[in-house]
Amino acid sequence: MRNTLYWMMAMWLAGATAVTGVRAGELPDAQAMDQEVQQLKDEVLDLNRELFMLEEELLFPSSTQVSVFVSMDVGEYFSLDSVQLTLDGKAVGKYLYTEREVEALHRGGVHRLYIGNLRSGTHELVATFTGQGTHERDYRRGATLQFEKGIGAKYVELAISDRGSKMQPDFTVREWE
Amino acid sequence: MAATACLAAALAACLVVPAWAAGPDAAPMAPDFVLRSTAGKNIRLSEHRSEVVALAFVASWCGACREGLPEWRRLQEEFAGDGLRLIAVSFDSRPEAAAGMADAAGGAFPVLLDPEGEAGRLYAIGRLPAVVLVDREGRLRIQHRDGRQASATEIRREIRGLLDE
Repeated sequence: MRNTLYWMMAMWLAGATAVTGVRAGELPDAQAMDQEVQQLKDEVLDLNRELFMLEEELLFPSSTQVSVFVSMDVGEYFSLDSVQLTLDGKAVGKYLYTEREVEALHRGGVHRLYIGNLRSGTHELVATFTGQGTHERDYRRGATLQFEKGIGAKYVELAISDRGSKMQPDFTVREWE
Repeated sequence: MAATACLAAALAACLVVPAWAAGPDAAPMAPDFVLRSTAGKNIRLSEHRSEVVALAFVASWCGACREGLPEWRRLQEEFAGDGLRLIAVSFDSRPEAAAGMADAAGGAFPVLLDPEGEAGRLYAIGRLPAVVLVDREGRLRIQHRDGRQASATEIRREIRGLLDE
């Protein structure tokens, strides 16, 4: 019993000493440690970015990569809620847009809705846009694109714009050259 | 008697050190999701960084959930100025049932529709009521998922603690 008690007291003292040791060491080298920590953070961010790019290149090599982007004009005639994407008859993605994200699109932002792999050949892409049109009426419209997937990466843009002449939104699907 | 006192002190120290070691940095990031509210707005969890978010998982068929709504409304009103954002996630398959809960809450906080249990799966919610607290950096800090309604005092203390960080 006594040996057990002495052992536990020794462990407790060791723990207390470790805590005290860390706290005592902070004071004199605080500034150097801050700089070192900041440097480490920057290195971690750089490494994270490189790893992300490497992962994307490994998962979606340019020979088979297809990316679909969404862009939006002012949006006077259409308030975007969601976009659903179908590729060769298979649903590959659906995205709900928040107010903040729609605002970002209005300001010129471009959202990468989907990234995937396709073999070379002819493919069909169908995008379904859901939202509210003029007079707050529910609006649902589709747009289709048939394209040829070649050797390089394929980029497709789903563009929503206002067609002033008809006071209606215009939905186009086009390839980036 | 002296031996017992020393033993108690040693055990207490063993409890203190682990609590100091497991700080907020060790907490995992709260899984992100976006759902539509009963008011028709799409709400994404990650857009509420810099706020303490209380995610309350509810359903109209859960009596304890309905009983807890007034207290949730009081908490939201009390801590809104300090940065608390309460969001209810409803598992109701009928939107009108979820809308009924939003009405009962008096519009104090949004009720999100999750009929397919998307957010429920992300947070491994198996029993209701359930509530998780997310800190200002988006980390999942406190979870009550055992189906027991946490006391108002306990929740208030936990929320206050996260707001004061």
